Amino acid sequence: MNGLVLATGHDGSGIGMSPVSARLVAAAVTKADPPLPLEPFDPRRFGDS
Amino acid sequence: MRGATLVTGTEVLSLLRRGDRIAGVTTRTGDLEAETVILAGGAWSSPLAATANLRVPVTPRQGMVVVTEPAPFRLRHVLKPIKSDTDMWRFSQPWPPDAPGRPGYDPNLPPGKGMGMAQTVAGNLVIGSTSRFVGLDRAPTLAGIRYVLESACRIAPAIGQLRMLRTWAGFRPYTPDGLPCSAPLRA
Repeated sequence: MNGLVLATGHDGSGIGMSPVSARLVAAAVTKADPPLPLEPFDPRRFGDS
Repeated sequence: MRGATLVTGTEVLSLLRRGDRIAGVTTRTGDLEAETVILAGGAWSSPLAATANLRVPVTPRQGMVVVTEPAPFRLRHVLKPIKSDTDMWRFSQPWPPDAPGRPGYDPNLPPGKGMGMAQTVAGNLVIGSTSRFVGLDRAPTLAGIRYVLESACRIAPAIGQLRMLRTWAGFRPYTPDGLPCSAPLRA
């Protein structure tokens, strides 16, 4: 889906994970290379999407 | 354009979908167009995504919190369960057996484990928490409050002398493997 970037699903760790999540979001918005591989955070990793 | 406009107190009702792209959001006060929409809706991410027929695998995991009157002692640390039974169980299962829609789901399961505690500047203790999959039901239960307080009293019995001021339930945005959903959502 073009035009949509996700930053969710951090369970109880959102505050702690927010700095690195912000880097992933910033890379997605500016279309830069992500600082981490994104596969582990793919929303389709559980199957049906 | 540089800079930003913060629009606070304005609930997003749905994503604005145009064909194969998200073109903005619809709010209570009208549409906002955007080149990029960042969905950071926490436990509400899944219903928001659903307004554009998208699926985000995030489920609300309810937790109850108790606040006491100011305590006549100071905690020197924030107490947090690093490897509670809940975490061990969470990371060892592909999906919790009590998740909504799964076989064996029971909304009346006893509250989960995992105790955490912090203290405000004024001395109030903020104590949590429980773990239940009950959708977006905000109502705390007596069983949950009792569980939180009994857990806290095992660690610090003096808490048993304090009065409870208030309690509430909040929602963590849970995923089955404990990892977030990040990054561009491709169709």
